[in-house]
Amino acid sequence: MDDRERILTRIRKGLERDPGSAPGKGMPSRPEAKQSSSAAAAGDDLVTRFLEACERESVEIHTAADAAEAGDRLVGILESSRVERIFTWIDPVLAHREVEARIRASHVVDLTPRVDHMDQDTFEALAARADLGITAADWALADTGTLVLFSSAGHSRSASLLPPVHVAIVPASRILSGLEELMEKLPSDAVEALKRESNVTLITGTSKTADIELSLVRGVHGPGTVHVIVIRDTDASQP
Amino acid sequence: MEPRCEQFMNTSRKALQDPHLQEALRSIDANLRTMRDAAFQELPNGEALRDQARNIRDHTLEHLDRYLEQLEDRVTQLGGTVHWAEDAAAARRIVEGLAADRGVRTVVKGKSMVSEEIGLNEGLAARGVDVVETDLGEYIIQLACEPPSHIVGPAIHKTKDQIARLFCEALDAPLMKDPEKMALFARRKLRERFLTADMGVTGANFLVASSGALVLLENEGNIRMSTTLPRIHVAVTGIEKVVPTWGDLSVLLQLLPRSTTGQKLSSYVSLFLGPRRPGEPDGPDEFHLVLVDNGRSRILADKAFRESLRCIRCGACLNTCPVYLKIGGHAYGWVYSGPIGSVLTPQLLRDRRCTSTLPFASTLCGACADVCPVKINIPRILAELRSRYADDPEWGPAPRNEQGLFRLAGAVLSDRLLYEGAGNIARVLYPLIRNMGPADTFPPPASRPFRQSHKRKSRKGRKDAHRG
Repeated sequence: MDDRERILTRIRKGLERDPGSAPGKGMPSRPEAKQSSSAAAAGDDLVTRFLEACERESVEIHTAADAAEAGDRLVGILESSRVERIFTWIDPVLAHREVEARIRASHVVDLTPRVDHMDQDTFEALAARADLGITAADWALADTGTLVLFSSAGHSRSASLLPPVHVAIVPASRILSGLEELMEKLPSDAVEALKRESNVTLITGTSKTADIELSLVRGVHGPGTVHVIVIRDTDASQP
Repeated sequence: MEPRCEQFMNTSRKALQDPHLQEALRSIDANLRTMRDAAFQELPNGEALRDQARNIRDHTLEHLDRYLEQLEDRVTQLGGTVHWAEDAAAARRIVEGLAADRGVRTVVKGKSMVSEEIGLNEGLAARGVDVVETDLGEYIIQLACEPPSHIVGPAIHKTKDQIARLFCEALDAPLMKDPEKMALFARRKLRERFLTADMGVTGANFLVASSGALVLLENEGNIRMSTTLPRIHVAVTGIEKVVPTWGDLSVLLQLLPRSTTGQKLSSYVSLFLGPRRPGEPDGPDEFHLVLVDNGRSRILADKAFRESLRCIRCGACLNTCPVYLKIGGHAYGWVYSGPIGSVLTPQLLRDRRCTSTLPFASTLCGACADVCPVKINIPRILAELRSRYADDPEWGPAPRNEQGLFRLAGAVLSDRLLYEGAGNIARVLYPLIRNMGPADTFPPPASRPFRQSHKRKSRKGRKDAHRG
């Protein structure tokens, strides 16, 4: 008998099951848990709620009417943060010609590799050299001011992690109310998950620590500054 | 880690005389506890959520075998590998074996209480693997060669001056005064390690059975680093961390950060669904999940104790406990401290030296149960541990003379004549014995028994009433 069998046997014995019984086919049933609904009042504007929650988390907020304005906001951030090198997601929202043209005109160096296969060490070293990372949130949560990023080809984990500043563009149509709504968007089982991303990251505010005398320090490992640019009216595709 | 619970009285006495520690503990009381309370006041359905969370945890524990098998099945489908470890030694062997087979030289670690419990760092170090703790608090205590003093804030007992000196001595850092400078110094040091490490080791906050997801919460980003940059990700965790579905997870996610730091959500909540897929530019190529029993299935089997396994390691019971807030975490003598430490340590270790001290390190005031997000009745379990210790030879019989004394006390307290007689004897003997023990151990008996003075007062009272 190996450790697995011994542990499972002890658990079954401890739960006073018949030790010889084969595991059942279906999963144990239980009464449908009533999900507690979001605390916010109905009719609250999701964009407003999201932006307010972001501010509470010390995230810098920007709004744009359309992609062109989002590009302007982005360039404004690049200039005011005196950014020289950026690292971005490869994503339709960021590839919008209005956005892309403005980034190109701003003369920052884009370190993002545009090749299909790249040695991971080289890829990460590039991301680590950037002053600022740009992503486009797959979802956002109004309750908590949370950005939800799915990993995939073109959507690196490094872009929102290694550079000291992170800018996320958030099409307003992707703002959900809260966690419960997000959970419905996640893969329901492994078969589905295998076809999708291996990592989902929920980002709320900046990297921070209070490990030294409980005093708050931002940017201890991840970005110490986070900007969101919400595009209010967008034809950006749903993720 | 070797338990040192039997030294509880000594270490806690020293803790009471440590002014730095007392200052740090006052700060926990003023900050973490207050922030937790405020977060729950803002949560209108907090009480319902706690009930829901308790039910989720209980349901999972009652069907733990099924959910673990489902989890194993899903993780395997996603391309991960599940390992089972019956005890600490087996868990160490698994991780050490993975490291050896893959020629791993450096490991970056996210904070994991289970890894402390099984002594993983020492095991890897003995095999020549360089292990770096990357949570700032863990990094600090690793440099100081100390165990964590708090489930969530491991270096909470250290002042910034102590940390600054430590950085000077261990890292050749300039002497810094500002916590921000120190944190950013550590950021630079650790960034190099992240980029060159071969393996990342983390714990788990939750495991979702239906999808095979590993869930980790953090504020610093060191866990994201440890799970993004190295090629191998190994998560080491207790078998009790599983929850059935995403919906269950969302209930617990609303409670854990609020209970820990008063945050609505931690800065980073990461969901891991196996190793990276083809085409993904970064993330680990291998994912291993090590499920550690190490005494948990034995706790599960004891109905009086089963609810201990509901714990989600938030630390709220520490931050509110009048005992923890005076003596800090090290006095508890092992990995888990505070009220939940007094519950878990004797059960996980089944060491009489721990059962003889920790369950008694509580006033049973119930503050811990009031804040527990999964409503563990900690005072009841502590009382049960005390009675097992006294009565059950398996848990460590109390010394015979103590049992005799309590039998005598029981007889005296339940018989009026004996009780009054004993009182009179004490009044006569007191002047002779008061200097025998350490100061303050024998408070003087009242000059007149309570019954007498009460009778007198009520007689006087009646007379006064008549006069009035």
